Amino acid sequence: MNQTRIYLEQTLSRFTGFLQENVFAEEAAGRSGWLQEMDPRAKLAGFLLIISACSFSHSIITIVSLLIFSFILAAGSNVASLSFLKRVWIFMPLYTSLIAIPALFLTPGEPAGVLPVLNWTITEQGLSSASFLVMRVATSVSFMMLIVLTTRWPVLLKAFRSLGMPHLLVFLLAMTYRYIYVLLQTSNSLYLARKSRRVGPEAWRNSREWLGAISGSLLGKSYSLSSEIYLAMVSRGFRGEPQLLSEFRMKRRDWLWMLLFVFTSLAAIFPRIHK
Amino acid sequence: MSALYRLKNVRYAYLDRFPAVHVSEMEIPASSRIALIGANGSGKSTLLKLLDALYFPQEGSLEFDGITLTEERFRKEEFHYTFRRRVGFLFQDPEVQLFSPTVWDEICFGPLQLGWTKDKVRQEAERILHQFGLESLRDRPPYRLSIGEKKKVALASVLVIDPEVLLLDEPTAALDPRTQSVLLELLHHWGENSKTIVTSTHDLSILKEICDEVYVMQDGRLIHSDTPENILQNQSLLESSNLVHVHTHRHEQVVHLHPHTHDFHGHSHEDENSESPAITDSPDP
Amino acid sequence: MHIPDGYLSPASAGTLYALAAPFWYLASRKTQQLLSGKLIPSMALLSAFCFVIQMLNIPLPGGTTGHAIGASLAAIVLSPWPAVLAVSMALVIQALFFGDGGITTIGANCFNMAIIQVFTTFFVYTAISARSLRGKVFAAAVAGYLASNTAALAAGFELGLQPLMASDTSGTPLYSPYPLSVAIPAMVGGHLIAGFAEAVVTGAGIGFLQRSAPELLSGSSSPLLPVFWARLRLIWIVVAGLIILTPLGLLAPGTAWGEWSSEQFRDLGLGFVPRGMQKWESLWSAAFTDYSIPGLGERTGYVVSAFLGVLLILIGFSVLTLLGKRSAKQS
Repeated sequence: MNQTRIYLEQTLSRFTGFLQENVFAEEAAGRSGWLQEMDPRAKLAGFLLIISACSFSHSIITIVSLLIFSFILAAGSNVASLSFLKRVWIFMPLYTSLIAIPALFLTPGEPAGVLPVLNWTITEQGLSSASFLVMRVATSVSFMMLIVLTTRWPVLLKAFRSLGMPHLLVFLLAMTYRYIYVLLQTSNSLYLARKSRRVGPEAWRNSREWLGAISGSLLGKSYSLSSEIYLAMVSRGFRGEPQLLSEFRMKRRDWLWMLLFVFTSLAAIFPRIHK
Repeated sequence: MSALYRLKNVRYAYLDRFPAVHVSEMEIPASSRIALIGANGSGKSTLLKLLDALYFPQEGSLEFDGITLTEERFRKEEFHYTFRRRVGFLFQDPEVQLFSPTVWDEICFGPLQLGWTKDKVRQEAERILHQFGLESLRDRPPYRLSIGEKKKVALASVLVIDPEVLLLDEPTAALDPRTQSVLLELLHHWGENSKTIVTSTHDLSILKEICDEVYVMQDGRLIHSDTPENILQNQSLLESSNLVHVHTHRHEQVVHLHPHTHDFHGHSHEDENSESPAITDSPDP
Repeated sequence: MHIPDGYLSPASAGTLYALAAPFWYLASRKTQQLLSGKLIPSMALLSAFCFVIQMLNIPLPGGTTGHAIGASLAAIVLSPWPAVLAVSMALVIQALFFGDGGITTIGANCFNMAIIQVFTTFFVYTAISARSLRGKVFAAAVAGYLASNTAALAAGFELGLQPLMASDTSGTPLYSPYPLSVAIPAMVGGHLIAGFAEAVVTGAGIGFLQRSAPELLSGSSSPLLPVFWARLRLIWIVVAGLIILTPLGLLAPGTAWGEWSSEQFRDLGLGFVPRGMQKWESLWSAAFTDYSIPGLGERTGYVVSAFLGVLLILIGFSVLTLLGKRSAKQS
């Protein structure tokens, strides 16, 4: 039972974490810096290229250089704060490191060392492999965080549209994101309402019960909202194809950035092509 | 004044099973201001949605400007756009009405759907932002607005297309008195040029402000219509349709049991001592 | 089950994008055909639902936590094609905002969770669903459980193939370093338990709808799927059963489970054969005999010692990596 409560509290903190994160993201997007001023299409396209290049590269040095490049961009955009580093360099790579650790020992190859006490052999291939994994993850997450922190969601959506994503999907994504908040608030209220009506030691007997209860209520709320929203859309003229307004203009600086990103990506994969 | 809306024997039931509205006859003249009052579940919302052709009657006929509103009619693009331009609906729950990522997007939604040119959309959106004093909220997402701001944005997003008819579903629900008056003022100002306004509400305090004629609904039917002043005096009607409550009221040592209505310009009691004798000094429940 | 960037080679990632693309395309088309716009808010809300549901972790036996994806519920409630889009969107938002799943692996994650899980749920549910409320809830829970494990199996395949397909000349796996014999038990084993979360969410959701709005569920018997797929239902049930039973092979002594030839794959009716498997079949049996499979006990020991030594290793990584890389080049 105590376990259930712990997980419920953890869940609540994830909710609030998400909400706070986004408030933070909006704030970061409002600061002045290189990335905030960049045309979002250049940013998005450029970073996607770099993340792909990172995936293609077979050189750990290239990958680490790209990671450093991301830190430079972060610094130039006033987002190189503790939270950013925490997420990019600690959270995700830490988690990946945990997953990668068995690979140090399991991967066949030439021994590079032996772990004291347990006497397990670490292979070179294992080391390389683990490093690749961790570095790639760190670099990708870094660039993604940069996009998310320096671009407001509606702007990002419009950038997707400009880069070719169909209308329907952009509209759906926008609406999904918007209603995540509503559902998060509903779940919060559900949890708090139950908590305050506690008669015994616990509001829910076990976690399956609360998961089931929240699922059912959330689904109900989703349904009632969605049918009303549809009416609201129809009432203002919606006929099935959402129309959007896009308003970007690429400045010369944006083209330069774009060139830089393309060049970086090519440089990153050049060694492979040249082989 | 010609009748803008004409209803005859209109019946509507949810999912063909749960009867919600049964109006045998109703006429709404152009440029009139009407209120629908009734307790929760009396069918006010549903009737409004019928008037906005969001639902279609299963029986009877609903005419707008002489044309019967049916599903087939709306399949024709031209009619759809004309009607949607002429009639606007303000939903009770702003979470439902504000489905776009930002205030700006929300206001632009209607005009864009109606096929206006991008320049016209921008122009009209700017105009209404200015008119409602919402410029500072332009890029805000809806979840970062207060309830009053949400209502204003919702109203702006409907009025930007400048409809002839405005249907309002409980516009002042959940608003504090100050925000209420701001909203009512905006409506009043907009409604000055021969607009037709139909408001559903169970808040009697705003009746005199918002309409010239009141329809009372109960169990999906229109049971009475009159001027706001007369309706507010009609105690038995209000009681039987669950629009006023009878409660105990304490004046110092004396506790009365009496019904309670509200007057927008003040607060008055109808102290009917003959109905129930004063109960001396009982403890509070 | 979300695969991050760096775990799949570009070839695999690209292939999975290519596999997912026709489903996305068809899903968009079908959605537009179906009810021209009315589904849009439903899809957005179900997508938001999936997103939120994935935040709800429940404790599982073994000391870990698990969460449902919501894809199975979406599949039954929205019917499969719109569910493909709805779940994909939730995954995209997660990838962007939480780094939960990578950008290059969006195709893979959508293929596993938005496509495989959705369709498996749909098939199983329509096959075994009964008329009664309890029958429907049970069918939904079972479908959710099986589909969750099927998706995990797919992810296990994708990850397990990486060392075969993308290692450099010195034998260093460049992406996910674990072969099939480790990846599949890890993924499916975990989901044998975590799948219960999916079962709970799917069952509870269907139960809720059955009681409050049963007419909304009639949309699950969708006329969209071609008739001949309906006949394959029975085969799918058998496949689902087999998928559940395969991890039991771990327990059988001496059986190197997962050592299926490509012919056996086709017989099982899975419908796709990993290209890497076909190509590297011979190489694979050689690699397999080179290292022993650690028993579960040892692996738990790995994790424990990992916790203890993690900080040290993080610091030492860069140094050791450079040393290791240099000597690999020299050899």
